[in-house]
Amino acid sequence: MPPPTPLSPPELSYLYASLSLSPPIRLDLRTPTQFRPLVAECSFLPHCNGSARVCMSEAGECIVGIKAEIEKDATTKYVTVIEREKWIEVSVEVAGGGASGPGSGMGIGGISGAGGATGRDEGDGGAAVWLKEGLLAGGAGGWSILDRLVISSGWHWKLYIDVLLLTPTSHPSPLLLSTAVNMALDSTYLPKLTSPHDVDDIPTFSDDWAISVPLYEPKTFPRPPMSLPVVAVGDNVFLDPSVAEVAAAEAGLVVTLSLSDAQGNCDIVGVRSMEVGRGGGKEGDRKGINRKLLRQMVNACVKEAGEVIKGVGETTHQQMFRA
Amino acid sequence: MEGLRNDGRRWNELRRIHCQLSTSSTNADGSSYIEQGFTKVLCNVTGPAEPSSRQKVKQDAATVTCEVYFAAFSGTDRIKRGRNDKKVQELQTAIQKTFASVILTHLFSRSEITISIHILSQDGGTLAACINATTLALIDAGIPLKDYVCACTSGQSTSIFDNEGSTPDPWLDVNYLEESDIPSLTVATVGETEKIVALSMENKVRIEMLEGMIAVGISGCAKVKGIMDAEVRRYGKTRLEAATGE
Repeated sequence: MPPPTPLSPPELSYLYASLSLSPPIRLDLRTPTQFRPLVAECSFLPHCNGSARVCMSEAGECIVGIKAEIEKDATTKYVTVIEREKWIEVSVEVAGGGASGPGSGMGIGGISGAGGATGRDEGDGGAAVWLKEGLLAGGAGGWSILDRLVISSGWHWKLYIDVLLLTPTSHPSPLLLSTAVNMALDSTYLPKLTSPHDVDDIPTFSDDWAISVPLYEPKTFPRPPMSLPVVAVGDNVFLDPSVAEVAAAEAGLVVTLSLSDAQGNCDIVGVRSMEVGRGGGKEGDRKGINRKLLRQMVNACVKEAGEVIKGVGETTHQQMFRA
Repeated sequence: MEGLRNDGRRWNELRRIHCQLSTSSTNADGSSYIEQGFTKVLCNVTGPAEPSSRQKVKQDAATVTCEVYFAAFSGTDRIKRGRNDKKVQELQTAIQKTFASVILTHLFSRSEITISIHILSQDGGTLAACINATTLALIDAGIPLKDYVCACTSGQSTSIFDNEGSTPDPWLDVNYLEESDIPSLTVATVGETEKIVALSMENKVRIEMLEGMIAVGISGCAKVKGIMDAEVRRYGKTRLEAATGE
């Protein structure tokens, strides 16, 4: 189900009409690729390796805390890919005001495959799934975040990413979640290893946070991934859609990207469809998306994402405890 | 005997308190954020509103509901606390009872006031920080209270004695290390009246020491009240200036 909106059918139809004009007119007079302002801060929780708080006017507030614990590899000889994927655990908890308690079962922003809770990730397991998916996707040259988590032979960091969504009953935008996770990851530091790399004994670490190691080395690529929601109405494509725009849209995607170089070029690491309203048509009357439009939507994300991810990254670095 | 505690404070010194009102954009009717040392708590208040269930309807007063969430990353180790966790339930009851007696509930019959608290970081004095955060959020929501409810902790070192063999002064506002080491209590007072609305203690302590601890706790509450009041006035002033365009 798409997120519920307080809009009546005539209002929706009006919105649909104004969004399908050429050039389109958005309700808040943004240009099609303009994002809404947000408030973000990071590195404010002393007990976490990385933390971030992001507020958006419509979608509410999101707090992310990342904790790293050392863990022994499950098997020393045959470390398979599947076991390595367990090194990162993402969990999303929704704590809305009153009506939607934790585990209300609604998928975040109606992203496909994000419905039912899966595995250990309680509450909105679905969001945890696509957040992790983007994170695990490697970069150019076989880069993988999992390699950064290796401590020494037989030992690795286990990364717990806990997302706390403080949102009203309205539609929590995937942008809110992914911005918060992006900033938290970008500000994550791990203690520096002081014992030798190639010894099986329990590793020892330096107490000095001034020489701790960033999870994502600054000024290197790829940067942490970020998911951008995009919708299409008619032939027009809109980034960062509001709840009303999602309700009026004909097609929606969440495109996960990571920055691949300093020029702002991005790699696509995941695309998921996002459930939207019924567009201009009647209920159950789906037109489907044509291939050209789909490409246009993804292209719009790729084109704008570089600037967005770079902007968020700069904000993060300004606030980090070791700027 | 005058000495310094492990974080460099004297016996009667509070940790740094930083508080903020209206932290949340649109979510709630009132919201606040408080930092007491490394203890960080976020509070949202909704209401007075239509009760969420028929059971919560009281004909002559508002119902106060409290939800406490411990963030999994709030402690030193990652611990997930469910809704039925004993500690969560205890905190919820303590806060709910405290505020049910201080909010002028008779003004809002057949309605519900929901307090939802998120503990982001724990470093001792969690209950005290929750109570302080709730007071600020209620003020932000414009819900009439009898007066500020301010809470503070105090602890009594039982292993240190001075030359005469008597115990030293109780410690004000204990942090996590002190809290796990020595008996401590949380006390909450209404305004500057020194009237106690909540008192909680989970350790054993000799009866002669109790009065001293409570007295120090109450003096701490008065200090906390001063800090909170200053922030409320500062915030009120900025809002007023913004509204009148000066």
